[in-house]
Amino acid sequence: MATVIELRDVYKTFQIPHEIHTTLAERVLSILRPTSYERLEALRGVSVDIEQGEFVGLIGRNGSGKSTLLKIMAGLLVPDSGTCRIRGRMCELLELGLGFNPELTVRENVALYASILGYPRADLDARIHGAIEYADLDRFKDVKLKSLSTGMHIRLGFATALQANSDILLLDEILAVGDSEFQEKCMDTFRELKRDKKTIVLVSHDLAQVEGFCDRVILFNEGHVVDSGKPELIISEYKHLVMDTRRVKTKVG
Amino acid sequence: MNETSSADGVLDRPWIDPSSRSRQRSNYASLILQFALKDFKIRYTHSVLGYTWSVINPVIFFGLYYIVATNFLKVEIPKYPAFLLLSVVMWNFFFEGSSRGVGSLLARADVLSKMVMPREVVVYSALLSAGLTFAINLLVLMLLLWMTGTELTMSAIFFPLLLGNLIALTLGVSLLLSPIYVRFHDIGYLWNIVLQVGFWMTPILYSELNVPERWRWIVWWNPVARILVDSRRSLVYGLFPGTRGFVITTLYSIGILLLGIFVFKRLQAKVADYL
Repeated sequence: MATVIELRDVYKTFQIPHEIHTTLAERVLSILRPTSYERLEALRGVSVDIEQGEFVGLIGRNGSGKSTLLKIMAGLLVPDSGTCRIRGRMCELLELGLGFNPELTVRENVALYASILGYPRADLDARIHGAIEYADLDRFKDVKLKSLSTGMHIRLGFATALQANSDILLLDEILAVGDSEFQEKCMDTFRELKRDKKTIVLVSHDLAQVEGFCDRVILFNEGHVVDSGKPELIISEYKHLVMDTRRVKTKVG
Repeated sequence: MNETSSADGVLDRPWIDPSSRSRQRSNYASLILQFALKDFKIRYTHSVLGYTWSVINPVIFFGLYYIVATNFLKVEIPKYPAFLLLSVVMWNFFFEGSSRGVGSLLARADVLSKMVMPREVVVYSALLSAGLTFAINLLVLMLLLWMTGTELTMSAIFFPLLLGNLIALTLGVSLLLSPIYVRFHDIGYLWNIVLQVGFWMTPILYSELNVPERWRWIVWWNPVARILVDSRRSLVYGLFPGTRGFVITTLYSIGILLLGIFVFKRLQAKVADYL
């Protein structure tokens, strides 16, 4: 097997001012007194290799750095230090329904989204149609998106991303949504993607789904990789981690 | 780019830095066009008159300025209707294009913070969307010039070049200020004031000849004024713009555009941190 995503010693810090100085005057005044910044160290030296055909789940508590890592893999954020490189076509679905505009119809939205994802122009129409069909929204294709339910938005986003037919798929918290019939369909699709040796990196809090689908799970805590390995092992480690913290908190309290 | 993504093909692909992915989009132009058209469409939904508003708006202001200037201020300028309409239409483009352009990154934060795409696309499409209104207005203007019997002479060939300067200037300002606006929201307020002051400090309602000699520098340092003055000369009065002045105007506009491109390139990678 061969690596398709490689991160080496990645650091990412966000500077969050305690008082948010968004105006220039506030900035100028704040030079006079020391500004207190909250240094949020989202990632502290993360090295990860992801192989072709792997289904990798990233788990950890809120703020542990998983979503930041996904955004770095996608190229949305640039690491402060360290390197990230990828090979193959990548498609990210960091927030479903994104780029979707409520005032546009289902079809127009998919077309716009498809342009952002960079569908090849040759079979653009076929793929747009394919996405709408997959999402089961054929009846609604000329309806403004704002008339659709949230679940339908999400189905449409996932369907559109699938049509990009990329080698690597980055997914943030998407499995927990959609009705059971659609989830069933997603599972079938995942099986197909696995057969086609596609690579998926997924951030989720739905541990059952992570265990059911991932070949490998990486556990994050406070910007570090704690452990990586077989889903059932890592998930139980995560549960311990959460319990330990709770115990410490109770003692302190 | 090879579109068939067979499993084995992946390993033949070169390693890339993911932040360079946005540069590899092949459908750059269609993306700009789509964003602009959708924007234009959304702007006029829920309105009975739809696109006609983009014409009604400048026509009403033109009428208002015309009444105020000729009756109250007693402005006496030959061919004043054509003079005024051309000025209003060109200023409107600069006004709309630059305010949309400067705010474009923030306005599209929802898409830009979650999807990888060339970020300058939203700036260009904001300008193109203002450009669509501008194009419609120019057509109305041409119609009016024809109706008032203004004859186009050879000097009119300078007009497209001056339009090019205006577009370069508007784009330059947008590229320069939009990434700074993401970090400092003051830019929005500041630019709004610049535009309000600019409306009066630019010879739109009045002629540059109405400006006393000792204030004339305001006109010569104002790139929009330079473009407006030469446009009126070439289109309305059938006079050629001075070569030296025209070269300076062009260098001015291109200089601001290059500065904008440079600043945008430097700041765009950090934009997602603040959106």
